[in-house]
Amino acid sequence: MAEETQSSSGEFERERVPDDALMGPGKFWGMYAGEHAAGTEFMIGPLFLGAGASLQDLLLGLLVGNLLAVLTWRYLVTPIAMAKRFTLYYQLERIAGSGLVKFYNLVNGVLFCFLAGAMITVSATAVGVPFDIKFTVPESVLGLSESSFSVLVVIVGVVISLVAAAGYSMVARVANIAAPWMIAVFAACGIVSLGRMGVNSWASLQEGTFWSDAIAFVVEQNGPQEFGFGKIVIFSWLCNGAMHFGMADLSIFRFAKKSSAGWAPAIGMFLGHYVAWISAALLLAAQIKTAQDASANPGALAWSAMGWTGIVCVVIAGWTTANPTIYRAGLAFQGMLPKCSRISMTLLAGAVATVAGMFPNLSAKLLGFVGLYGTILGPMGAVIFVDFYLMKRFGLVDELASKTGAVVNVAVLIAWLLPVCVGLYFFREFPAYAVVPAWLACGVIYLLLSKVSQPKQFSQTKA
Amino acid sequence: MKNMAKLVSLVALIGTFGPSFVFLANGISLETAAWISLFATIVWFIATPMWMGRLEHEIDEESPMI
Repeated sequence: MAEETQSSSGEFERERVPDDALMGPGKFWGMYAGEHAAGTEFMIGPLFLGAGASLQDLLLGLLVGNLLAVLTWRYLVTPIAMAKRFTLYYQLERIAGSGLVKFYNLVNGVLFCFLAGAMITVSATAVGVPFDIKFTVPESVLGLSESSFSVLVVIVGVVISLVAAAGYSMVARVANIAAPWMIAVFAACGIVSLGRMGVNSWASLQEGTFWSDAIAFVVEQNGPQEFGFGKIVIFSWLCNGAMHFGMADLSIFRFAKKSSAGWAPAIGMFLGHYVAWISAALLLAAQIKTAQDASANPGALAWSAMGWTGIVCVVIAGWTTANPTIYRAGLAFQGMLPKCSRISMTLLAGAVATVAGMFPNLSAKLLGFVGLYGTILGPMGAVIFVDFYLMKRFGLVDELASKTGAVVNVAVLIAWLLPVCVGLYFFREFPAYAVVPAWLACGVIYLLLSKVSQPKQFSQTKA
Repeated sequence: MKNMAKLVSLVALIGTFGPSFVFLANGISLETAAWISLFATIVWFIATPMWMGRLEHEIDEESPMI
């Protein structure tokens, strides 16, 4: 991959991480602790309730799904990361060729823009609270909210994009400083919500009427909803599919001194994707009980529980996550158009994200979008897995592009896109279901195509 | 100085979520809990930058947080 599309940290991007740069497990626990306290948690949590998930299914489903996610990081990503010690992009470039990695990176960048758009929407809901700017989700997918809210999204998006264009080191520092505090605010939101619903005894908590009443209200408003245990498990396992199944976190674990570092995502999962999601869902339950309102407006929800602290938390959570996402998307775009400056490409990414953020259905359908993200990017991890474990066993050449100089490894291209397209066609209602089947199919197709095409391709190149 | 700042941060962190438990136990009003949390938040953002540096090898450049 081109240098300019890599991380700007400049650390061992195209070489093995040397032994003296390896880090102990503690560093990874610190990194992941704040990694999954994002603005989108305020949106995803209430969506579970809005989708009709029972409290029991949510508590158990998130537990199982997050555990599976941690195991995937530990046993799928960490061993390869420690053996190769390359970034995802460099590892992929060695297998798939620089041209294909640029295309993959572009797809990644576009998806980043839409994720950042949802984060901008979340931030704008919080900024709008003091100004009494309403946020409603229209029926139409391409419908806008109130015009005042759209203007607010543009203002928030422009500010975030400008800061991202200026570089992101300051934002990263704020994110690190804010992370423990954000987790505390998330937890406090859940506790306060229980208090607002009068759930202040173990008996009332076990009884669970505060939740079942909220579900009944949602069903009355929106018709029968279904989001059962299996769906919760799949979603919580695979919402970060791009990072574990897709091997994006090779870039992190290449620094691991010991394989036990692979357990570190547990802290991010169980604080961000357990405590934070449940707390955010409780915010909506409390709003339904106290105001008979089932609209998932993150800013208003946080305001009702924590006042200004809640508003600041939503803004910081959205800002600190949207910012690096836009920055990264800008780098991806620059990889495709290397003559353009990083600043202009970051602003372009910011503009796309801002426009996306103006359509509230994007954030309202975040459960589906996150699954889509994992389905599109996740299968590429299967190529790395097969290349690492199986190619030599089947008498094939691993890291083919690095040996042939191929710009595009066609076997990888087909193996990636075919299962993704088929998976998205069959599981378009809930794309997270497609992640594992597409991943497995991608690995098998890559192996078969390599078996068929590789000797000829390789010998031709050698000749 | 750093240790002092760390202690203040810890107290501020407790001050951020602690009032929610007191509210749950009907010890204070929601409004009071929110104001205490806000004060603790301000203290957190003053004290914590004094000791918390940037983590090495930032990961959020390559992975958006979900």
